[in-house]
Amino acid sequence: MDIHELCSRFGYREYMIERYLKLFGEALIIEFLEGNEQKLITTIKVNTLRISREELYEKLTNKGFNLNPVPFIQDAFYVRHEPFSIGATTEYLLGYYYIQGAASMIPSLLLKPNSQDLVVDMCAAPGGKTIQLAQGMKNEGILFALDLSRERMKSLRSNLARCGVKNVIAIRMDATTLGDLKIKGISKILLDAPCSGSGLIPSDPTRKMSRGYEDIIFCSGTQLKLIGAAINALEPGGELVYSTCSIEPEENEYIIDAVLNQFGVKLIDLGLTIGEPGIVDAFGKSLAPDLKQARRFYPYLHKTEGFFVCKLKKVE
Amino acid sequence: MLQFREINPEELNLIKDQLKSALHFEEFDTVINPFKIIIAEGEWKEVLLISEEMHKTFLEFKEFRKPYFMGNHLGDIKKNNFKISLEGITLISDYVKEKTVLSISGEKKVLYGRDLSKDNLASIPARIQENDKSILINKNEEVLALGKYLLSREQIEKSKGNQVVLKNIMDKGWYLRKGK
Repeated sequence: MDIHELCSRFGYREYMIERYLKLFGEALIIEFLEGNEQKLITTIKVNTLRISREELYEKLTNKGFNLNPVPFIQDAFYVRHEPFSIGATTEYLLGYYYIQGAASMIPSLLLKPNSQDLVVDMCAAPGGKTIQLAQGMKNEGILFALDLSRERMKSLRSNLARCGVKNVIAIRMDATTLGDLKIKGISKILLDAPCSGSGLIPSDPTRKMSRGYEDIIFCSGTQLKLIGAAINALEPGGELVYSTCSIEPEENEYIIDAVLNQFGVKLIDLGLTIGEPGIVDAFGKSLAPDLKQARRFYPYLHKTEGFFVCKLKKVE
Repeated sequence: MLQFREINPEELNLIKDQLKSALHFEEFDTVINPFKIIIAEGEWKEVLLISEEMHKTFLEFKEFRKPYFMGNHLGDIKKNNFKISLEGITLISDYVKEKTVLSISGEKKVLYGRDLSKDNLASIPARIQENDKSILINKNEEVLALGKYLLSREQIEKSKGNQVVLKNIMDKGWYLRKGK
C-alpha cells in the first residue's frame, strides 16, 4: 500500500499513516481513515441532578429536536436533528444536559462513585466528567476537581454552576503533585489524561497535520507522571479509571503496562459490551496480556471519538 | 490569592437582611443554615455554601493548597453590599413567593441578556414598585434571571409596548455568553 498516496488522499502526516498501517493492517486502514472523515453525531448526557431523562426528552422533542438513546450509555441521547444549536437552548442554560462525546461518557460510569467515596477528578476541566461523577455521588460526599489551567478552571466553574453541582472542591494545581494535598482515604480517581488527541480527528481534522511523534512522546511522559501520582495517592483497594482521547499505544497500553510493572495495581474487567480489547502487541513490543481488559473505541467501528479506557485497582 | 474563612456575624446579618429586603426571602434558616458558609476573600468576598463533610476535609488540606472554588456560590459581598449569584437565586427561588413570570418572547430576550418590556411579562407581582428586584421565571417555573423594575405596577400597565420596564441584572444566558 502506498503511504504517500494515503497521506495525500486523507491529508495526514506520513508518520501517522505509517503507524496506523502497522496498527490496523492493510485490511482495515482505509476503513479506519474513512471513518475519521465522517462527522460524529452530537451526543448529550442528561444531568439527572436537575431533570429526569423522560422530562428532558419531552422538552427537547417538543422544540423539534430528534433524539435517540445511546444504547451503551444510560441517560444519553444522539441528537439526530437540531432545528437550532443544541448548545443554545433554555434547557442547556438551565443545566439539564451537557454536550459530550459518547465514548467520553464512559470513564465516569466505570468509576461508579457513590456518596461515601472520596473522589478525585485529576484533569477535570471543562467538567463534563466531573458533572457525571457528581451525579453518581448524588451531589453528596466530596469530589476534588483538579486542573492546572486558569482559563479552563473558569469553564469548569461555570459548567458545574450551570449543572447545579455542589459537592466539588476545585483546586488549580498540577495534578502530578496530588500527593502534596495529603488527603487521606481517596477511594476513587478519574484520570482522563491530557493527550495528543488523535481520537478527535473526526471533529478536528487539523490534528492530522498539527501533531508530531514528539507530541505523543511528550504526552506519554506527562501521563506516566500523572498516573504514578494517582496510584500513590489512592488508598489500598481504591480504584482508578484511566482514559485518553488518543488511539496511540504509547499514551495508553504502554502507560498501563509500565504501571502494572512498577506499582501494586491490577486491571479490572470493565463489563462493557462495546469497544475493542486493548492492544497487547504494538510496534513490536509485547505488553501485559491483561491489557485485553482495557477498551478502545474508534470512529469507524463505534461511531464515537477515538478513545481508550481501562480500570485499575490498587492491591490491598 | 483568596483567603478562606468562616463567615462572621456581621456578614451573615448583611446577607440575611439584604435577601429579605430585596427579594422578601425569609427562609434563610431553612435553606442556607444547613450549609457551612465560607467566605473566600480576595478583591471582594465570595460567599460559598459547603457541607460539613467538605468543611472537615477543607480544614485538613487548606495549609497545603488553597481551593479555586468549592461548593455552591451564593453570591458576593462588595463594598458592604450582597449581590446574589445565578446559583443563589436558583437555590432560594422555591422560597420566594412573588416572582415575575415571563412570556416565551420574554424568556428568549432575557437569555440574550436584554431588558424587558411589558409585552415580555406574563405576570408580575401584585405590589411591585420602582427599583424592586424580582426573580424571573418562565411558565414552567424555571429560574431564568434576576431583574429590577424600572416602573411601578401602575406605570407598567400604562407603558407602551416596547418601553423597557424591567432591567436584566443577571440571566442564565451568561453561561453561554461569558461562562464557556
